[in-house]
Amino acid sequence: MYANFTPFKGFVFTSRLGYRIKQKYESNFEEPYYANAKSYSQVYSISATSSQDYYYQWENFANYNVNLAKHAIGLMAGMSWTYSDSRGVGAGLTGEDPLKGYAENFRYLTQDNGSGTKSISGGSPSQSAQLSYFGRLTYSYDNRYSLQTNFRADAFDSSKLSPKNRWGYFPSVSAGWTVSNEPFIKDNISRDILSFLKFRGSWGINGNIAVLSGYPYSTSISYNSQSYQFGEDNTLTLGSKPDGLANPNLTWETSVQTDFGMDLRLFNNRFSLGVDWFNKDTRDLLVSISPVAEVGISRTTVNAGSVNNTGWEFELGWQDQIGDFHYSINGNLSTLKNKVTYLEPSVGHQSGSSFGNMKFSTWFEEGYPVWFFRGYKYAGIDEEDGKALYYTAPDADGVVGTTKAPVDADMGYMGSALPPMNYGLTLHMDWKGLDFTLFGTGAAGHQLMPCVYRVDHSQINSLVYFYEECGKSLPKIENIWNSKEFWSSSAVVFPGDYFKIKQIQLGYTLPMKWTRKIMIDNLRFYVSMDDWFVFTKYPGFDPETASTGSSTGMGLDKGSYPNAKKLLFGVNVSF
Amino acid sequence: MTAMKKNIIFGMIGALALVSLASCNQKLLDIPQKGVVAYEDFYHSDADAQSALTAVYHEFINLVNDQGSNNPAWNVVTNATGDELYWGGGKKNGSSSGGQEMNEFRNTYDSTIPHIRVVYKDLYALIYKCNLVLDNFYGEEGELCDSDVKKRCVAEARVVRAWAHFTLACYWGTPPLVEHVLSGDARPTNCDHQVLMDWVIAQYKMALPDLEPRKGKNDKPGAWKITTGNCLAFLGKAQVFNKDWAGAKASLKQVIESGNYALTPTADLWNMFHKVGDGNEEKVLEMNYVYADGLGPWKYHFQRNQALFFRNLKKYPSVLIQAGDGWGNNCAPTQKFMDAIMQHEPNSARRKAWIASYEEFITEYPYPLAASEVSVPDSEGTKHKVSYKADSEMTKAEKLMDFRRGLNCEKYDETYANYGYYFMKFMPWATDLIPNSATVTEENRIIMRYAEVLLLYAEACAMTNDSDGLKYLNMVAERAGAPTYSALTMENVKQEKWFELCWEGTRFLDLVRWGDAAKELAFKSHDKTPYLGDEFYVKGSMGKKTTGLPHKARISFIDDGWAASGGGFQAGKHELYPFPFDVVQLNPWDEEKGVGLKQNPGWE
Repeated sequence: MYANFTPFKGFVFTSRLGYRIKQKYESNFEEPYYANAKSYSQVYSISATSSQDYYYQWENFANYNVNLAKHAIGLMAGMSWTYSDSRGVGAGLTGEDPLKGYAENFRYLTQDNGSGTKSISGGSPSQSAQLSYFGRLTYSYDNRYSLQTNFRADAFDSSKLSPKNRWGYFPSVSAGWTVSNEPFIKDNISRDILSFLKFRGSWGINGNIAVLSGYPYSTSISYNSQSYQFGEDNTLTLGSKPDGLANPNLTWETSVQTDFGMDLRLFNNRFSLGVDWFNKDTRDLLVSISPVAEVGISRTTVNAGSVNNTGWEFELGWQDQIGDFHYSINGNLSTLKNKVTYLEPSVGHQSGSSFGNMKFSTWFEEGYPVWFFRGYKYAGIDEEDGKALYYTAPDADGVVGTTKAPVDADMGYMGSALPPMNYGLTLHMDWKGLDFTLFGTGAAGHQLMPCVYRVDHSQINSLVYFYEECGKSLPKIENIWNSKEFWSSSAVVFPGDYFKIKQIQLGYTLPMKWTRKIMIDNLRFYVSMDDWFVFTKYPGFDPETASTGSSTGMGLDKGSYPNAKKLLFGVNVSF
Repeated sequence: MTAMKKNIIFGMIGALALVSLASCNQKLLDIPQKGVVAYEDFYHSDADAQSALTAVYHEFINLVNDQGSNNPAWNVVTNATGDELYWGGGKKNGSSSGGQEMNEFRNTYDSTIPHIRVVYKDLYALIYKCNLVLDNFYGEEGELCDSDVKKRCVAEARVVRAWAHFTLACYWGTPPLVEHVLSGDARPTNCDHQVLMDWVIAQYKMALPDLEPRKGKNDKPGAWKITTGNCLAFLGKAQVFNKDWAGAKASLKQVIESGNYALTPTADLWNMFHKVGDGNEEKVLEMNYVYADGLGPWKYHFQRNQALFFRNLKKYPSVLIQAGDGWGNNCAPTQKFMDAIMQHEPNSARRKAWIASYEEFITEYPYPLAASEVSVPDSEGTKHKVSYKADSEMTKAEKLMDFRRGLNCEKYDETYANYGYYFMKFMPWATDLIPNSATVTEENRIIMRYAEVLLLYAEACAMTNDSDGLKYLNMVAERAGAPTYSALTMENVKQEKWFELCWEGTRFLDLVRWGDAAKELAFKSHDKTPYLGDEFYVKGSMGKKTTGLPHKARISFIDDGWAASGGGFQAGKHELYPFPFDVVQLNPWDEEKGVGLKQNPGWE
């Protein structure tokens, strides 16, 4: 639902209300069953739940645009309010003989005969809300110079941040100079040669509190969440405890991003080039940390650190038409340098994910990429006895030695799963009704760690492929089969470089003059090979999916399901 | 004109909406947290004190129930390193890792063992819960302790906190002392072992005056919480560990003379570890479990039972839970332990109640077997129909020829780490099960029982040439139906304690403090692992050929190769457990600042 009002020229006031409602009713009936000694039920269970979710968003904003000679000015200000509410109730009944009858028309909670165990659930609504104010000022002069400033203020409900810290303020500014529209270019260089050239720059702050939930800034008492049986009967005495460690200073994680770029098109738009450089400083990074074990609490969230991301992005394209034959080729390449620039000294470092009870883990520490792999550094094989050698930590004089029995202090950086380079290539051709697309992506310079071996369950290991394909010089299996150090070392870290042809597609569109006769605007048949070819030396399954869950498990390949090769035959029809 | 008017009206409504949202936005964003009470409003009344104390017991029960990897961590940590059992599992290197690695001091036993981590963390979580009571109801000098209820709650929490530190000190040597709730950025550091032991003893003494005693031998709830009796028993134990023999004798004698505890009769030995024995006269402290709908089944003994289930058996005796095969840890008595006890008291009531030989296991327990006809392979593997009687009508000789019982050799020709005996002591009974479950039981978990008190007293006497202890040593032996001793020597005390408290979490710590660990645990690196087969079957036939002989244990020793790869008990290292890897990684020792945790010697 929306309304626009235009009280005077150039001024538009818009009020928009979005409303979504979801209602659900679910009922379930289960009879006793016996599958095997561990999976069986001797009871009937019957339940019904009803739930209702609603969500609305109300936005009010005003736009004012005015053009004075070559000056174009735009002003916008507004607010947005989002609210969602989800609530439901359910009831259940279980027992060996809980109902008056068991025919189809008796399978309702109302047919309860009083002997079963009743349960209720739900009844506690869950709500969330967000309020934002925003404004924008745009100015451009003669399609040559443009300037845009934005400002927004956001606040979420009290389940995320305290009223004191809930507001985040995020300004940004960007400017552009379209050189190709300057008279000295326009008048001197043909558009057929220099079609377009623009320089851009921007600076802005944005915020993130996505990881917060459940009132992390406050400590409350989880009332009657604990229990012990002090007596002989089954009465529970209930007890209470705090729900965690409070962090009243918790606030927005913010990122300051600076970007400079250029867009260039040459030869009547046949050639295009885009270059961008960006630098992003994230501050007050929200980190869920484990306090030391002796504190007695497992996790708490803090604004603990700063991370810097910087890199280049290039896009290069060429397209042309030769008679009926049209083709284009586009490539892109981006680089990324990632580094933790600060971590609260009291936090020190954080360990993320690991595997089995190996000693390696992903690690978050100042001076390194986020969640890098940390473990022992493999130094090769001792020629005398065939055992694995590891580098030691530098001694007081900075000298690094080797050892067969590394200690915990020898562990360090063994790689990062964040690719310093990502690239892609798209090739497109069409001729009359035929079209062909080839599209591939790749990443390079990063490492992956296939978690294929468990020292503690060595009989479940099957390492033939690992040994055959890893291409490394490894000790004989009898020297390492039960060595946690070896399997926690860089010997099992591999380059993750790959290039993957994501799609090869061939299509044919029937001429419109034929299809029109059967009231079809467009009829296209195609055959597509998706994820068909991978070029990589990585010995695991699929370098693209080789991560486990969240960011902390990045690059730990615990056998994530690979992308399947797909052969698709398809038809696109539009009327 | 009208359109203009309309626009103005709508414009005003819009502006009003903006203003109104702006003015009350704080309120709109306030969504109160459900089901909680503000921290400031709690920790005041007597009821709050009791509630905070209940959270202590909640954590205590969690400690003994919590699992590390596939095994109950507490069971592994307190028993795997002793010399009375093999940590079996299905095979030498399967899902029972951790327990197995510690049990054989393998070269892969290191600071990453999950069970060690779980117990360490749970002990500090327990200390945290205790500190919440002590910080909020005692304060620095007792200024917050203004009622009898609060005094008692504080005293109970104080005992649990001291017990947790004692346990930490025993296994880890120099763990941090945590006397208050810590902040999230704390960097605790090691506490000298002697300082910690002295602190523990002082804390027990400080709590004593405010505790309630158990109200007689039949006061079951008095065994399920902290009382004067168990505080004195813990105090006496700590004094024994501290070699304060006089102090120990005084404390333990008070427990003995209180009349609130007694050894359970010989006939009831068998009940000790089951629901029917919950809260009996011998229980000094146990964690209480009674099935309640409000608690999920995981609150009870599932993981613990998993550690006890036997493996590779065709049928279980009726008294036991009829657990499915395939995931028990199959912990079995060691050859060393069996040779010793079978020499000393082969037919004592204690031995018979707590340990069954393979033949006894097959013949001396009723089995849920009806008359049936079964295909049985002969010596060539050809199958023939054989009719068997119902279990109740069978003679011993017939049972020994019964194809339906004994090892399931079709699964494994031989069972890993079994010397022909089964530990029946903790095997869950069918009568221990919670409703609607085939595997989860609700018998209580013993923290300390009276026999240990008597044996600690006997030890303190033996160390001081005080003949008073002999009476109590013999009380335990007599109740066991075992030969009594004519002299109070440390050798006799050690033996009696080994037999009486096997698999009850005392042995490893005793060996360490007696200085016997290196000698007594040396056999673990000899790599003679017994595998149990059955004469009934042709060896190597995977149960597919029978010999025509009756069921009989056939033990073969196999070298599993742990010694060759650097396993075995190492004196100077293995007496202490390693601080958990991730705990040290998070809080490493910092020489300059003098903060952080120093790893134990040999575990770096």
